Amino acid sequence: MLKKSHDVKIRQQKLFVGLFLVSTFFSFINLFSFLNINIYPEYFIALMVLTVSSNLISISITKVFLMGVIVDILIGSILGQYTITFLLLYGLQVFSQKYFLMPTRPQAILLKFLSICLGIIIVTIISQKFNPTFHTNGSLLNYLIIEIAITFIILVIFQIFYEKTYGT
Amino acid sequence: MALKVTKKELSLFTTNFSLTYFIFFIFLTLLMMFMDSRYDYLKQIRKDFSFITSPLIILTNDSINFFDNFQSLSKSKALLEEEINQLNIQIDNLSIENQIRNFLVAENDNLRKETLLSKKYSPKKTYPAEIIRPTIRGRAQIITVNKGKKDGIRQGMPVVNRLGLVGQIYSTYDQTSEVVPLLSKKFAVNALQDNGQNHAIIYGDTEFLVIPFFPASIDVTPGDTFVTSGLDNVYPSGINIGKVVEVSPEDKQFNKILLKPATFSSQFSLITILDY
Repeated sequence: MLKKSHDVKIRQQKLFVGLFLVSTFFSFINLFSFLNINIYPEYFIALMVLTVSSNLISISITKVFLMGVIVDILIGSILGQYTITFLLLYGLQVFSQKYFLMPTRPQAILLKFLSICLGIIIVTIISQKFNPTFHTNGSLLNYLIIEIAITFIILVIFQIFYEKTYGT
Repeated sequence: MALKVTKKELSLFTTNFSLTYFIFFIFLTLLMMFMDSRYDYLKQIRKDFSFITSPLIILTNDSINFFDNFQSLSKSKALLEEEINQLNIQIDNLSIENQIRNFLVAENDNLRKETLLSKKYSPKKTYPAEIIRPTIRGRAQIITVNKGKKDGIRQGMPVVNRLGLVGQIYSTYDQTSEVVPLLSKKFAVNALQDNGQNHAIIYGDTEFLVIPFFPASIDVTPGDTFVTSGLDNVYPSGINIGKVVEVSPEDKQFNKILLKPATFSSQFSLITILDY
């Protein structure tokens, strides 16, 4: 694994703070509500997947837990909704790093995609109990597919910013 | 030669990952979820942290207002003149309706005095307010308005607009308040059919308002209107709630009635909070 220089670390920490603020902003205004579509892209799940898979900042269980609590206070339906999602995403990442070799880029992308699927499924299941929304937009499966696709696109956008922190 | 594997390498997770901590935090999170679903701590925590979240809401609101204002500036003069004409016609119609209303109010008062009925309650004070975005928090539909505790808003106050009932104040902060909209699952109101005969409790159900069990013996047809009855002492009587759009049999004795709300939160920005 490449060792990051001090400058790169600083740039990535700034990027994390920036992406967190952007995620908060877009989670509040929800661009899709302007088109009268009930889709809520999970910006924070995209950010968390990027953080744990790419070591955007040095991460530990305590940090993951605190980040989850902050996101719950900001946009959660119930305290613990995002916390448990982030913890499980972190667990999945550590488990896969230990037991699976994923040297190629497509394999790494597949793992990120699966992480997003897992995150969105957990958040949606918890949301259905407190704020049911899916049935306004067709079946639950349709809703999940659209949401996963949009969140994955957001992750790709975040990833582009992340790769730029290494410079040319 | 066989590779020697240390005990550390065989452990389930790598060195900087403690399985014990992981399980501990998972249990802690589950405990948090249980406590919150039982005691609704998140509402109080949000109140305590509103000094952080309020600037975020104001920031998002201002940026959207900027685009809205930009859009309205680009409206042509002809469109604005046409709008003014339409509004003038509307004002004329309303002033005629108001004269009729004044007469009916006076007549109603006289009839109540004659029949020794108690005085009809009317709101003590009204607070005009503006809906500020966002209208969602995560996935929950909420309406945030720009009047709060400092303006005298209290939890439980009814919220209306010119088309009908909007909801009820659910939570108040210093500068803002949150409204439970009609379509929220948390919403319920005592209603009266506009012919003044049939009472029912109407619930929010995401897309429509619903009366789950309405006696099948009572004739209700699509197009009938329901208004607030005032019996709950929460909402003043006579506020338009919605129109019946579907009547379907639930069983032999009861019908399920779906109503379209008289007003949607996306249709307006100005509302009135009633001190009732």
